[in-house]
Amino acid sequence: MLPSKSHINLFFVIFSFLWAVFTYAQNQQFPGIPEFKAPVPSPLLGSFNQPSANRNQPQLPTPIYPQRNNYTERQYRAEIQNVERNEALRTQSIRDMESDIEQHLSALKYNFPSHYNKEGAKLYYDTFKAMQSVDPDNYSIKDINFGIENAFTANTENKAEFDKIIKETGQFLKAKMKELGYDSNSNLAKNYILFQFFSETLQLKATGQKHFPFKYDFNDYMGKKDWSNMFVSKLIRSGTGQCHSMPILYLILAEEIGAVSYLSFSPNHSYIKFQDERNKWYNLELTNGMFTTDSFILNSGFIKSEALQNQIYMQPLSKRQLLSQSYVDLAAGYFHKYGYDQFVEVTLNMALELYPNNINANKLKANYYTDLLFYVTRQLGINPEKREELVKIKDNPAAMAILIKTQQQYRLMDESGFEYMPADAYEKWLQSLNNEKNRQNNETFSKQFKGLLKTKVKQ
Amino acid sequence: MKKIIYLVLLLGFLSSTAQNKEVFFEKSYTQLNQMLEQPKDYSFKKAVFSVEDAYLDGNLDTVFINNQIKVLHNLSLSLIKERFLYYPEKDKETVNKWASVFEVMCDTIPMNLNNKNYDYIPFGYDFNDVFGHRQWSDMFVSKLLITRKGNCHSLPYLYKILSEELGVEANLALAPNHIYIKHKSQKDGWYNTELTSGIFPIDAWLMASGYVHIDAITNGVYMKALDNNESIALVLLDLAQAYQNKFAENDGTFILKCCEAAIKAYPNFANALILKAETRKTQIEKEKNTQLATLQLRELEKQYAHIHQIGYRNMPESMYLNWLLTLKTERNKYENKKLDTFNTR
Repeated sequence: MLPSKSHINLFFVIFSFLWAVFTYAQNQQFPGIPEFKAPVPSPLLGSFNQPSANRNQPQLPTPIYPQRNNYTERQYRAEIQNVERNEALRTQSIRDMESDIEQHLSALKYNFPSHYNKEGAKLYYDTFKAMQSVDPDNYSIKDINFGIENAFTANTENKAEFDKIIKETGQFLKAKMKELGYDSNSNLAKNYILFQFFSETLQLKATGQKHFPFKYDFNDYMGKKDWSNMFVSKLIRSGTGQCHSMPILYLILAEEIGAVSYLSFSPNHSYIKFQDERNKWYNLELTNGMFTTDSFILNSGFIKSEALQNQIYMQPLSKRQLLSQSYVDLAAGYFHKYGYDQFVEVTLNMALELYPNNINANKLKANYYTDLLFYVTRQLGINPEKREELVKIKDNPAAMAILIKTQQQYRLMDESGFEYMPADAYEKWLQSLNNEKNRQNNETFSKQFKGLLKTKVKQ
Repeated sequence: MKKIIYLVLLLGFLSSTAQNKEVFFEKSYTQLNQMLEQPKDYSFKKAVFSVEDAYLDGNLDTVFINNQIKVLHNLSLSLIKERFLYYPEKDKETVNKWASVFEVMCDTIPMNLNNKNYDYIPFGYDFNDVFGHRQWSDMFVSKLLITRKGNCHSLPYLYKILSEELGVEANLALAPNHIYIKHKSQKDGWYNTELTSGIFPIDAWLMASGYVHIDAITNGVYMKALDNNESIALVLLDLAQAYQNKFAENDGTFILKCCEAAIKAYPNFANALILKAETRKTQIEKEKNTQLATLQLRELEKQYAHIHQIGYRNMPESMYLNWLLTLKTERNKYENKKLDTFNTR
């Protein structure tokens, strides 16, 4: 399952209330920046009480008005002084009140506090910079992904060692291809040896080197306990992984042996697509080591036709789109390590610039704004899950702007055809791969392959 | 005097040759094109019945049809007025209208007329002639209104007509050999209405026939909510097919004309592309100049390649009913569980 911290259920609650507020807001024509007009405290600022204008003002003595001509000069002077003193007190009290309000408002934060000064955070900024310096259409997924994992583990990964493992694995695969008599120029043969590497025990007769198939990690397939469980380095170390680390390692090895393969998304999931020499497409499900049909993927029940029309699922990702997903991985790692701040937003915007319909970027962005909305409304003493409280947000333009951004993000996702897939439905779908029909499909594919590979050898 | 009138009528009847009958088709063609050019002239009801009238040589009983539609319209209005629909969003008025049409099409409704209780019986599915092989008019909305049994052609058409009578839109959508309804509500986003069984299926069901290539979805060949012009394109193809059924030995000119107009309004409309290609094929087979025929065949191959490339795959008719029934046999798997609003039964 791909990284996502889901607030979606909650959002059904909020979402139904948003419309009312939104319509109201449109009539209000509020500016984007908070504007302070008159010192009239809004009912929003729950803890704040309007300071009484008379609070510090001494009561005027109720004079028994003497006759005009009875006024002495001394009396006049005293009265003028009295008025002046009262005026000064009044001004002071207004000034106090204004500064009270100002203080209260400036204490409101409309952005998450930055984690920039936290240990290791700078490494994330460096990685981001490094990613920006590559050519989006021509880069090494091995290097990019290493940087992302290394940022999370605070520079404890050894690049030289990692490169060595990948290089040796590449040599192993090439040698095995030769041993099996596969056509070393065929994209189909290269992808097939990669598939075998993931799903079968492979042994090189010449050296006796042996590799066991990778296994699915049922323990923490969403990286909830430990985000680094999603990593390729963990997959290499332990031999177990999930739909995140397995396809990425596949792509890294494909890059190493010169195979052309693509990452592709389905709800909560990613898998591998590649083409044979006759441009026929194949789907590879690495978590079970099987070839799958499009209809198996469609059968998850959470792919709407709009999602396909908008190309958010089941498309082979271009290099650029894959880089977009790498930015999402970077943002997700940062979030799991430190929590949200603007780094996450900037990184996701970068991802969406490369691939505007990247559903994982849009999901994380929706969660980001949701949390930001909660962060701000908490300061305002508003519970956004309660409709009667949420409507009060319209009094605060800056908070309102966040609400609207959140709402727009969810509407964008709805329109792109996204539908939330619960974790149990996902697990059930993945397990359904093992049923008879899908097993047969897989065998048919494999047989087709073997046939093609053999013909290649004869030629 | 009377005798003379009869004689004139008889002569008139005998002289109404194929040529005269074709006039009704031309009339319908002009009317449909007018709707494409002038959005204000658009009426799905008029479009559909112009085709049925053409097939019936101008003998469609419009008085009966209009009366029937009026009765159904009034029934929807009284449902909107009298029964309660729980729906919390702003677009309740629209959703309520859709719900009432759905009930008129698919639900048994208890009624009280002159202090007597009746049950309104909904429309049913006609398993006898699903593809109009026995008789092309079995596809017609007029046939549905007379027999109260229809298929995946007439049922969604009537639904769309009744929705438009209430002033709300209903989008037709295509699947292999199939037509269904798509709506978009604030509460549930896009959702499907299947009139042959009165169930709201999820998209996975429509994809499950095994003949929906994902490219076909991506390119809007299938499962796209069709707009008004694209719906008229469907009717234009109905016109071409009605013509083909009536004048089997035609030279293909009229059919190609209809196909071209339909394709112009809906470029990835697979059925129109196929009928066009097949009509061309028949024409080429008759071509005596072999050199010209070879060239034309090459052009035709391109057309077939294009149809394949946009994702169309032929679904054998025998597979259709099997698939249609899976919605009932595997209802739990394919029913949209979010739509508790209408699942009153």
